[in-house]
Amino acid sequence: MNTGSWFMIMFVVGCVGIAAQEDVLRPNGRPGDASSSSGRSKKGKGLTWRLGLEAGINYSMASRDITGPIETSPLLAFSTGSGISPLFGIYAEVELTPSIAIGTRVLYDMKSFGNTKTDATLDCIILDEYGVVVNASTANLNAEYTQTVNYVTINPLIRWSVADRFFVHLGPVLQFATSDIETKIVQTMDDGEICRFNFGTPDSSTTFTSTGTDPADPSFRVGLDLGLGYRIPLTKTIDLVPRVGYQFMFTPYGKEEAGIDASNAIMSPPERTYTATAPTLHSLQASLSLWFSL
Amino acid sequence: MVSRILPVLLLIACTMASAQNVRIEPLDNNTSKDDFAPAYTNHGRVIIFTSDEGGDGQRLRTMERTSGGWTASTELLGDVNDATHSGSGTLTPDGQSIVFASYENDVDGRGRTDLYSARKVNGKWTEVTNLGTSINSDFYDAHPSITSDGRTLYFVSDRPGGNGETDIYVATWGGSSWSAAKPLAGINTAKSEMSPVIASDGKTIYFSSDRAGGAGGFDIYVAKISGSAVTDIRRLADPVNTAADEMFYSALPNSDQALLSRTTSNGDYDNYTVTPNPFPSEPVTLVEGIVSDATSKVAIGSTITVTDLATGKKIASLRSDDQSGQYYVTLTPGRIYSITASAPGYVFHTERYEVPPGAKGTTVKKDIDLSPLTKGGDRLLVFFDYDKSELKSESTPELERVIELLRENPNIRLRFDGHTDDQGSDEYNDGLSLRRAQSVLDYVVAGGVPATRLEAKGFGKRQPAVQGATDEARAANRRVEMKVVE
Repeated sequence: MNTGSWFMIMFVVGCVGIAAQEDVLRPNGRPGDASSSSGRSKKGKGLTWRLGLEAGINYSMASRDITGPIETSPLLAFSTGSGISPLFGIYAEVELTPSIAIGTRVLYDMKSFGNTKTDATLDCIILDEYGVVVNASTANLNAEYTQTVNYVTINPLIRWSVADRFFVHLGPVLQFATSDIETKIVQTMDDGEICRFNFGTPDSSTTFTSTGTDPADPSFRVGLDLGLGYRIPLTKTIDLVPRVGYQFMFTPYGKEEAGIDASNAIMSPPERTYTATAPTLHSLQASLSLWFSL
Repeated sequence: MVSRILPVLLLIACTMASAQNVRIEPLDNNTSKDDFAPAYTNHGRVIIFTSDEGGDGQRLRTMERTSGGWTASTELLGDVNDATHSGSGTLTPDGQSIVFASYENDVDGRGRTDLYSARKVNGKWTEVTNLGTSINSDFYDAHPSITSDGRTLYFVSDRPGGNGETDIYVATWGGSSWSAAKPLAGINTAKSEMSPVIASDGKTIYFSSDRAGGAGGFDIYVAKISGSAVTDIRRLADPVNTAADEMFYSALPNSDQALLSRTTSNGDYDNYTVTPNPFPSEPVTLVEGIVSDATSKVAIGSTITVTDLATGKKIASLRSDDQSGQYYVTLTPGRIYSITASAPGYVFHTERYEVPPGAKGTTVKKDIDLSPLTKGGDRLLVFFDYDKSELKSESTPELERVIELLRENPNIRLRFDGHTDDQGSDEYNDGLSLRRAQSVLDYVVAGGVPATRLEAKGFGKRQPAVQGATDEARAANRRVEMKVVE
């Protein structure tokens, strides 16, 4: 688990620990006693249902371990990645007690992330006008990639009101891929390099671009969502709800890989074999919702 | 030297003796959870308090004093506890209306703890009503205390605009709505002021504060209120105030006993009695009795109206219990009052009480029989000065009630019977008694009632209400009575 994950969890746990709900005796609740805040469910009142509309952004964080290539291999750009992408969804819950509700979020959940490795190098050969190899060189390179994959996320959850309007969401995440993984690779050499992509051809260029798609495999992922929200009543039946959450996924979004990295095999032979662990993909989410009490 | 020191030593000794004499003893029915905000009602026979007995939410509970001590407490019946937390209730002296604080009540509020009112109907607390935006804010509004006339409400709020964390606010009842609550000037500090309790005299207020100079945590203070001015704020000494938190100091009227809530070693509050109360409120006159049907003797739930006869203003509107017919009224010294019981289908009944300034605290027991509003029903109406037929100004409220009665019951007809004392000839007294009855009739007609529904008759001195020739007997006989003739 990376630093961001721990920070998020500690933040939420901290909020839970210090919060205590007010009562008719104490405006700030009993110090250090969140448990006394729960109260009993209201008598004589039916269950409260809420429906919501949610829109927000993902800050996606991908990570994998790649071993084998030299440190400047462009392949290592895929070791990590991050990026912002939208999410939209609906929310439904039923309030079991004044402080506990169960519900579900259903999201169109786009994950888009990438990375740029600025210290990458790529070996190349230099041809003369007759196409004869006359030299070889190593070019400095910006190796960039972006990947995008869309999911439908189903997030059953428990909502616990830890203070008057603050609440914590906790529940499993079920993600179903609704698209292939779209990958775009862009590699850019410095202009001063003698190397070129497609050296000696009319397409010779300092920039190489590649796009492609691969099936999302696995197409179903499982994780856990921990969120913190605040209800701002707009009317008696409508709340505006800012929310932050952390989507920690147990299932990776790709498979383990192994192969040959020839990026630096000319100047630093031999060709290197590499292995890459299955990539993880977690998300920090920030959203705004409108909740309608029925 | 000794002569100088001796008085000081005596003073210290007296002070210590006084402090030592104050006994703080646990009130019955404390639990291992929070028990707080004890409030007397029904002139001290009933206590309502708040308890988190089950650990699953604060609830209003009640217990009654019997010859064997306090009964086991029970939750208030009805709707007042339909909330996550309900408590810190304050009752009118009749015990028929309550103002209480509630967090997440079934009746929507303004977000956080709000103040609500409810009424006792057939033994159950119902008609739960949010006190509205004049009183409640989006913030914490709790710890209400209402004066014995039900016209002034003190409470605590942490809304912006105050002096400190929580402040004491005040609002007054204008007859149909509460005035906008304002901070009670002269009492709030940058620290927290909590649990104001206005005593039955309407002049003594107890409250709690964690301001500097206390014995630790929240301490009990007492102050005097005159109009909007708060004066003479004093902190109660040990053993009332200790290093623990003390709140909800409540004085039993005309008694040396008080109640308070204090934190225990686990941080929960328990209720205690304080005897003797080192700062009792001023004496009041307590009037109590049973309102019943004059014919069947069945108890009646009626409206009890207290009127200041000097100004003619209604100063309190209370209720007698629907089931027991019991009514309780608190009268402060310095005024002449009328207490009127009225109920639909009955002829109203009025009693006059004069409570002079400096009067000692007394309890007056007066049962009231209401005559059914049927032909033949009669009641004493107004009195006159010697040899006068002009209406006294203090008669005005009573005659207004007659007008009201006729408006509410358009099918009845009334006859006003005038009487005199035993002085003078029959001929003269016959005329005087008729003029007295006619004065009443004229007033009622001027109030918009058709003269065809009214009749005036003079009986002279032939039907005295009280036999005898004393001044008191003669004053009681100079009167006009009202009779339902149709």
